[in-house]
Amino acid sequence: MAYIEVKNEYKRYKSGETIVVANDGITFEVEKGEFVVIVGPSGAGKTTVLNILGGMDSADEGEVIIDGTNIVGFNEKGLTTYRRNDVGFVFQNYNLIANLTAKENVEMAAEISAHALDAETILKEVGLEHRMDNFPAQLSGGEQQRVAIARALAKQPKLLLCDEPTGALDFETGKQVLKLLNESKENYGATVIVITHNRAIAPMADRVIDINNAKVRDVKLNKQPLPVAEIEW
Amino acid sequence: MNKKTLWKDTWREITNTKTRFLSIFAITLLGTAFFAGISATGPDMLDTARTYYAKYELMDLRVQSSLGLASKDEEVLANIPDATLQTHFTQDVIISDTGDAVKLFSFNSSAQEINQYSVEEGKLPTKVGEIALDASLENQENFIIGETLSFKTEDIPEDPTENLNYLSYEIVGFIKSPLYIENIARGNTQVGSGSLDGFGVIHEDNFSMDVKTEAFIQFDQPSESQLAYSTGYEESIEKKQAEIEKQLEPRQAGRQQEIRDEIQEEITKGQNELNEAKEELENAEKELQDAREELDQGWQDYEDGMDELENERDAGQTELDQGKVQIEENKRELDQQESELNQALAEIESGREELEETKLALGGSTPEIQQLEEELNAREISVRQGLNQIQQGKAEILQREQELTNAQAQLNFEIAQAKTELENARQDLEEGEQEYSEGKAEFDTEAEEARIEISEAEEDLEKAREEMADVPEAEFYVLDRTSNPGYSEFEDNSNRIASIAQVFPVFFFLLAALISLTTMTRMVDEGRNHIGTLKALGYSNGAIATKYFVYAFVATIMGSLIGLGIGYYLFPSVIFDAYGSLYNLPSVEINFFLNYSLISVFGALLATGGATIVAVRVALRANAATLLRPKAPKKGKRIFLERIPFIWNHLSFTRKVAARNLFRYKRRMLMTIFGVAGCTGLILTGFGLSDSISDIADLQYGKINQYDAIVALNTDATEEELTEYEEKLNQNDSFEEKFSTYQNSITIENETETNQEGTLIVPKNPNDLSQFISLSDIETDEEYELTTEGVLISQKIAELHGYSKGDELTITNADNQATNYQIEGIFENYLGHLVYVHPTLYNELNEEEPEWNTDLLLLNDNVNEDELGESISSLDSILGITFISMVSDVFIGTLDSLGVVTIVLIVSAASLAFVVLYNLTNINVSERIRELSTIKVLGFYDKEVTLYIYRENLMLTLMGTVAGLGLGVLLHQYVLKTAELDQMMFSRIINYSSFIYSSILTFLFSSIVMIAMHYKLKHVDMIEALKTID
Ligand SMILES: Nc1ncnc2c1ncn2[C@@H]1O[C@H](COP(=O)(O)OP(=O)(O)OP(=O)(O)O)[C@@H](O)[C@H]1O
Ligand SMILES: [Mg+2]
Repeated sequence: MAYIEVKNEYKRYKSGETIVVANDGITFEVEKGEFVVIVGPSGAGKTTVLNILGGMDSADEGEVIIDGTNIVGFNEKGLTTYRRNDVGFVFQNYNLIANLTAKENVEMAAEISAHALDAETILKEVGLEHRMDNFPAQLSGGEQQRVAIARALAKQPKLLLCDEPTGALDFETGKQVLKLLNESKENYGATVIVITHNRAIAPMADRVIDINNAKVRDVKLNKQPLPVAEIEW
Repeated sequence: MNKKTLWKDTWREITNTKTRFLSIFAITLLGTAFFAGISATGPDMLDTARTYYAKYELMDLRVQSSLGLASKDEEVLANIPDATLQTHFTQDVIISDTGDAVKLFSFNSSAQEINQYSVEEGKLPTKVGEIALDASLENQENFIIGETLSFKTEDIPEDPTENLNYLSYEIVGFIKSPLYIENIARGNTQVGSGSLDGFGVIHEDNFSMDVKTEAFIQFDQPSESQLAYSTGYEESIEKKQAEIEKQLEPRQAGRQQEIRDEIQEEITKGQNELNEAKEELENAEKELQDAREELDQGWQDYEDGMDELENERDAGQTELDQGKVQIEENKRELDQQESELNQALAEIESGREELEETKLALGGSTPEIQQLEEELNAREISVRQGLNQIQQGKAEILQREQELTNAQAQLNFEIAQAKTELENARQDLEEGEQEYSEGKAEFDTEAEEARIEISEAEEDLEKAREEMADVPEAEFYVLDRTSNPGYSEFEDNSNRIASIAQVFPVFFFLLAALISLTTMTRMVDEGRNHIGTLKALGYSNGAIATKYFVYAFVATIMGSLIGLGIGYYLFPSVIFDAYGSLYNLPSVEINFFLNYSLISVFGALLATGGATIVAVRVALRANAATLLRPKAPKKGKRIFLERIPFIWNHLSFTRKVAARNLFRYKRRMLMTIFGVAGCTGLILTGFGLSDSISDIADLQYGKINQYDAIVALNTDATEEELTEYEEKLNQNDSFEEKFSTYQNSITIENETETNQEGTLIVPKNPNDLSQFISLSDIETDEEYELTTEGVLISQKIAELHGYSKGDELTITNADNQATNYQIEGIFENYLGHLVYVHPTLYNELNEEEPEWNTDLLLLNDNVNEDELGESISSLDSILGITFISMVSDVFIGTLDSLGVVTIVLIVSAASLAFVVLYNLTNINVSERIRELSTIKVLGFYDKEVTLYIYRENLMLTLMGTVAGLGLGVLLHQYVLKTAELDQMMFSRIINYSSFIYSSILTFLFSSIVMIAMHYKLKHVDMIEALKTID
């Protein structure tokens, strides 16, 4: 049994009279410790899948089994606990708490997690040992995203979910972030799932899930993923 | 954007942001309701009173004269143009059983045009012997219709029998008079304890007075009576008052002359009567004297008669006796002659025999013998003749004797008769004497009496003459409505509410503006993108701003219109209801006030509009590009707390965030603090007012007045009666100690401030005063001693008139005599204005001993008040006994009604607090929804999320509460000063519990808001929130 199994997952949004089917019977599997990239056009339903995987939203139908536990049907509290202990999120626009320093932002996540890592160590890992006491506003986008990644990693999540983490970053910085994410899979044993528009990133992934029009169109396994440095776009 | 889309957009905005819309709506609703409501309450109260006055035709002026209103006075009054005149009799009496002092008014149903009575129960009197009583007495004394009551005629200064034909009356109804809008105060009187307990109405024919005592005047302009309490009315009445006073001026001397003439007439009559009486007395004396003389004469006559009788009797007897002697002599002579004759006869016989013998011897006669015989015969014949004569003489004597006997009998009879006559005369005399002495005795006593009477009458006449000389000029009192008890006070009360209306709503509006500002700012912030897009599309600033103004104005106008409706109805009703127990007025008239409506609507529009301008201005000034970019997040900054690592390092993140946020969003921090402070302040003021009001009963009757009962003594009572009273007291188990005082109503004069009515108290034994009354300094609690140096005055009068120790105090008594005292101390006191004077000082300055007219009693704990009351209240020596427990109960009841006003304040402030807190929190949440969503995503439980934001709010609430408590103390002081009644001092102290309650309430609202927020946060769509870029 795979580490993550999504089976026949449906998600529908009702907006007014019309019903939008954001996920229409999504099914895929991910193995533990994989670096997964989800690609697809805008509006395909990627974010929806990620949100459901991360316990931020719940599926209408189907099963989402994470490490043997089906989170579909979890109540709000169960989902929160799940997020708290097992999931790390990285967003396109960082979503750092403006009022906390880099270190504090990390500590904040660590503080509530059951098996958290030391904030300073992890910030050092992401190369921000000298910016630990800076506020987000004093950091560049890339640095902020690294803080966000550190924050996500600090609680040693089973899943590291990233929704277009490089979307707001330039090429170089984007690559650095991707490298960091790739490393964290190795260093922390997290299963990393990254959403991107950018198909160029796909070669570095262990597994590429192509979602289109609310359905999984294709799942590709890379036997030999490319190192980040070799990727260009 | 054409109008239609604008409205559509605005409408969508409203429906999409209900909470925001509601907060502006609610805050303007509260603000306008409170402002308009409180503002309208004062005018509504006055209006209600006005309508009542108009309906029952309250008089404009009342005219009284020190000498009664004679017909000529009435003529003057009747000639006042455009006015109705109504005159009547009045008499103050005391109801025998209950001891209530009642002012009686004469009533004539056909002439009662002014001051009409409203009949609450039963009817007005239609004939003599019926009385309609003050409705307020009904409850006080449980009078029932059909009962008969009577008036005291003794032991009161003014005997009603002089002025009333009847002294007992059947109760036929209970009534109210527009003269007395206050429930309790009925004015002062000379009878009883000095203040009236009520009034009564009896038929005119019950009065036996010559002149009316009072006249009511009402002016014809009906509009004026509508405008009672207005300055226009007051000025016009003042003018008329002066005019009438002027017209009555000649009558001052005129009335004096009239009375002098009346007295003169009486004096003349009296003098005549006196003269007659004197004459009569003299006549009687003369008659008595004549009678004496006559009697004396009688006695003289009688004496004389007696003497005469004696003489006559003696003379008669002597004559008779002489006659008898004569007769005896004659008898004896006759007897002698007879015997001589008989001897002669015998000699003759013997001669013859001798002759015969001789003859015989001679035997024959011889011539000689013959001669001798012849001689003998001749002799015999002459003897015989002599004997016959004697016989005749004897018969004569017998006859004489008979005559004498008859004469004796005659004499005896006559004497006896005369004697009887005399005896009768004597008896008559004696009777006369008896009569005389009786008459004399009678005369003596009567004359004594008459003389006393005469001298008294003379004295009276003298007095009358003096009195006549002393007749003062008539003093006319032309009094306006302010002389009616409660009339001015009612205005004061309504003004007090109005003054509250000036303080509180300002706060409300400030808070409303604050809420609008934060709300609109937030709205504009949220709409940055929208504004930017519109700008980019080429819309003008005006067109863009319109939406925000429309949004704000719709909320404001809806809120303020509904607020006006609620305010105009709710506040006057509730507050007036509270005053209902103080005033017997009909329920409040709800009015619409254009000015308040405009002020509040425009004020609210100004507040929200201004807030909108402030909020929109910044956004509009920026160019489209800037607006389309997300607003740069506020930079995180280190706060001073971080410089203290000892504290900072021990804070958890959430606390650190909270601390940093507080200082990062300074404006929000200040606004929240200010908002919370305002609300807490208002709540505390409300509670504080309630404390200040309710405390005074405890302070006055617990801390200051230690005595349990007051006894009003009859100053005319005899020693015996007083002893009886003291014995009765001593026998009573409840009684412990008694304290004599002199108490009298006074006016405390001041040149700059209005004069105040107060009470002068002279304790008989100042050393024991502290046992009964504690006079102490409010600050230091140090007890004052009453000295001969000066007086102690109560705090409120000192405050009103601005006195301090050492100042001079001028007071006048009921007789208008002024006395100056030096103020030695100012003591804590809450009810009335009191002046304590040392008896020695009183004697010195007034040159008279005070009359100990009031006793204060200390009773023990297991007192039976009813029993004690019954046992002494019937005594002639006391006028009445009042138990403090009852007074304080009544007083507390009165204060309770004032408490409603404070509850209105508290509830209003509390609802305001709620809205403010909810709003601020709501904005706080919406501003930081991204941050909150982030931590939610990070796995914070709902509770943690709520706490995350609430920690800040709690801190702000805490700071706001502390600031609010300070603010409340200031506000409380201010409101107290403006809302206090003249005769009352509210406690200046806010209880600790009120601070606690206010804080708890604030935190309670904060918690309720927190709970609401908690549910809101729980359902926050974090995905949505994170998706939006702001
Ligand atoms: N809360 C929502 N309410 C209604 N519809 C939604 C909601 N969230 C997503 N959708 C719809 O579901 C579909 C899938 O959206 P989703 O965000 O998953 O797409 P995506 O693949 O992540 O697109 P993108 O690459 O632009 O981020 C879209 O059509 C979107 O409009
Ligand atoms: Mg997406």
